[in-house]
Amino acid sequence: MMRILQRLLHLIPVLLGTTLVVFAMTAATPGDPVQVMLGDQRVTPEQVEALRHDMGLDLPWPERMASFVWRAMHGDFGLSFFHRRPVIDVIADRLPATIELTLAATLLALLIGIPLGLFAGVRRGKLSDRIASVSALLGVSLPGFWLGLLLMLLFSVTLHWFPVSGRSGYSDEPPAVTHLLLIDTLLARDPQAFLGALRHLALPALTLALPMAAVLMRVTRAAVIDVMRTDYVLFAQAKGLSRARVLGLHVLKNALAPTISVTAIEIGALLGGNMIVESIFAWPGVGRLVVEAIFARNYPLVQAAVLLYAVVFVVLNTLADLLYSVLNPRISA
Amino acid sequence: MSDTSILRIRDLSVTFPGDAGVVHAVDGVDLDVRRGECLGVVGESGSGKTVTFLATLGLLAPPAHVAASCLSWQGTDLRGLSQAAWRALRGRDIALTMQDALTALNPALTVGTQIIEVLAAHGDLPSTAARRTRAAELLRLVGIADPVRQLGAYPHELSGGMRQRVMIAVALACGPKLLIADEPTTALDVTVQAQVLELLDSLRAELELSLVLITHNLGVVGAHCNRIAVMYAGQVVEIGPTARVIDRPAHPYTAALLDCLPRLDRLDVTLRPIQGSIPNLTHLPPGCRFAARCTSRVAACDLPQSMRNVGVDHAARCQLARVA
Amino acid sequence: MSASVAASPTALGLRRLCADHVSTLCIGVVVFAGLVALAAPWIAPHDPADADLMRRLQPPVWQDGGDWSYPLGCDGLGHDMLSRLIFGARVSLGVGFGVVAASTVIGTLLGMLAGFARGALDAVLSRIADVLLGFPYLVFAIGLMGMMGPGLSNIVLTLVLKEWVVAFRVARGETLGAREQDYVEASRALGCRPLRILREEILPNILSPVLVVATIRTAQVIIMEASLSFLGLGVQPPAVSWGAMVADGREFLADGWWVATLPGVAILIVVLAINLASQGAREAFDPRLHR
Repeated sequence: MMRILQRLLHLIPVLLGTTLVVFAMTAATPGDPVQVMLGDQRVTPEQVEALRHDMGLDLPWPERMASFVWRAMHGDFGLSFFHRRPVIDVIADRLPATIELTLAATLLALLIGIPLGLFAGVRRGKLSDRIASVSALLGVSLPGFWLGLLLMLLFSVTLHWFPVSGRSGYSDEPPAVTHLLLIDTLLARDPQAFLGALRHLALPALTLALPMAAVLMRVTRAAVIDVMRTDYVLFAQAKGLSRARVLGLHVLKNALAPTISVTAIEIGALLGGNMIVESIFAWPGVGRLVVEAIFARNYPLVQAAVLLYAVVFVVLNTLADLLYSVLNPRISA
Repeated sequence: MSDTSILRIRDLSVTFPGDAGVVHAVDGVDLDVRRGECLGVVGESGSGKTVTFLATLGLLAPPAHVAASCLSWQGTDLRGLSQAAWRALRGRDIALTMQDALTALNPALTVGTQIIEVLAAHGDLPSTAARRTRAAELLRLVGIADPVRQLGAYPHELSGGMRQRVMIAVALACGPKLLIADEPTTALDVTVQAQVLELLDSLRAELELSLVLITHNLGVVGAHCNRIAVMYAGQVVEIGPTARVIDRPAHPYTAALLDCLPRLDRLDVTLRPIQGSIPNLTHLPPGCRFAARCTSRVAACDLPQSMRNVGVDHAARCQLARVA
Repeated sequence: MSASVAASPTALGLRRLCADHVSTLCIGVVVFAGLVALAAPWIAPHDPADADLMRRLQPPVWQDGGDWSYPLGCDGLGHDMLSRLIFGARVSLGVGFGVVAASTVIGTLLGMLAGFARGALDAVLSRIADVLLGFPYLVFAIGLMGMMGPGLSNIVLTLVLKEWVVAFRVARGETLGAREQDYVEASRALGCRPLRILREEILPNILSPVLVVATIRTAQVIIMEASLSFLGLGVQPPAVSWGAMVADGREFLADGWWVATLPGVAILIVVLAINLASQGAREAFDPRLHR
């Protein structure tokens, strides 16, 4: 319990530091951000001054920093000039799509990576292990954006099995309960819409999942090999336990601990990767929003999104830490 | 050979491929374990004592190569046994405990789980409640206080001595006829050692258990074993009743080992360690393997040595051994 | 039994590495790529910026319509693919090795200082490192590049800013371990100055793990640069980057698959070679893995 509290307390300075770094990023913009944002729009000097005041840019920077941190804690990131709405609302609109994609990818990566890692670790040195290990190495070496295009080339353009882009092909979306299409279509008992949503989700989720699955496979395999060499696995065999139990319980429970830590870090890679995947597949999520915002010079939005990603990542890492100590009771003692 | 032997090993050899060549961990070992006895197997690290019994239980996986002219348990040929048959045998008929209970017990599972799963694996006691009761009984049997509460303990929460007892409880869960205890006292303090050995003694009497005590500690075997087998560099060099082997060792190595022991009743004698070290197991000499370190060495020692009877039920692998 | 002459751990590791044929081959591939990048202006058959619209989307030589003067075909604006690939190597490999070199030097120096001196310096540096590590890599890079604007120097700066933390952590961890060793105690007892201890006792011993990690990171950085260039945040035309080439090829997936695919193959080959070689290096230099 103490450990949990300690870990949570440790979060505060890290989150504060993260917010400060995001603030510092804005300071890195060359030139006058307001001028750059407005570009060649026709505005009066008064409007420029008004915008500058709205963004707080006319204050000395210590005040700006404090103000930014304070407002960030309340979820106020200012207005998106581009969308003429509060930044936080714009992001909230697109959030479900990104959550759905990230969850699907994480699930896929876990379902592919961990069993493959267990399989390869147990059959160490044999042909099946070598094949699995080479595939994992390839998965780690492939640039994600290229993988996405390749999958699109093969399955959408050539085979026409999956659509090229977008989240759903239907004009009438189901009533929004969770805002996650897969679940909402099931709740609305609309199998066609469900299948449609699934088909649209397939390639983006796979593109996002495969590099992470490769990493998970390698980590699990290494952990399994280590565990298979231990005395307690030998003792479990000496007790006459079935192979299924030895592998499923004794090996897996101890091998999963390092895998969990890596999963948290890899989800960080997912958070970045979905910017690319959403751009490739025109998935209407936050990632694509950020990339568009960068080219539109919509700095408040970029700021807010980056901070959001960073906070999620830090929280996830903390959760993974805590989960690790549950799986490995010796640590929490 | 006596027909009270329940485990019969003849001409067992175990080899591993190594970086520098083939390692002959065990070479031509003959051993019997008799019903109801406690057999002590003594040797230094690298003598092959643990590998012998891991191989006998089929726990050595490739690239280890195991061969024997006879390997039988109560008449059943253990060579070429199927995996399913092995699983039925291990834990139920023959049980093994290992040296360090901290590494032998799964750190992520409770003590209770690790006992109950043996019961479940061998189909004893159909209900979970019955198994829990039996597990608590076993803990009480091995002398653990408050057994019901300790079922939920994790291995690292217990002391070294308690862990070793837990391991014994796990091993005895299904009532095996033979317990192979690998260095049961090595990782423990001296006072705890005595307790564990007494426990094994009483369990032997209570449960009609046969016991193999693998150790490098002659003091342990002297007090608790009926017969002693001494191993060196992968071979058995002497085997016989405890009293005879200790009082009148036939093999120079056994004699040297006994000389090494500091004795409280002879404080004026300087300690006499055995000079040299064990031979390289990838390049073994053709003759006696102990010759390089032996004070009684003669030219004939460079020829291969075989076991010679030196008394009733007493044999040694040395041509200089006198028949008493 | 003969006694073998003792060799230094580094020499032993190098010997083991040379015996590993796969790793040697991969190192050869990387060296080859590096040489190609260096010699680009002399070996590229055409000027990469030379656009001939008559040749747009000309297929590679092994398909109908291809010819040997443009062996890998042309892209959507009629640039020669082979020449662009060769020049693209300059950016990808240059950024990759350059960023890792700079960040390794900075991170190792800071890590040694933090690990050796401890106290306030260590606390501050470690906090900074924690915060920076709390950013997902691409999110940080995209965010910062988005604010700063594209360009080669900005990419290098951004990537070094995120990468130094990796070298810092490794160096700090190894230094923490090394400073407890007896040979450091002995030096301190002899009155050696801290800087000298750092340079002569600690640095040689932490060098091996630091370098192994650096080789692993090179592959990651190359993929990062390519990803940023793919999004348009990398080097800008007329400079050529493999990532940007893939982005250019997006619209021609149906008619000109080679425009998007070939640069990806180049990235894959280089990154795969680096990953395999660094795996081999890790096995060769890590005494624990060698039974």
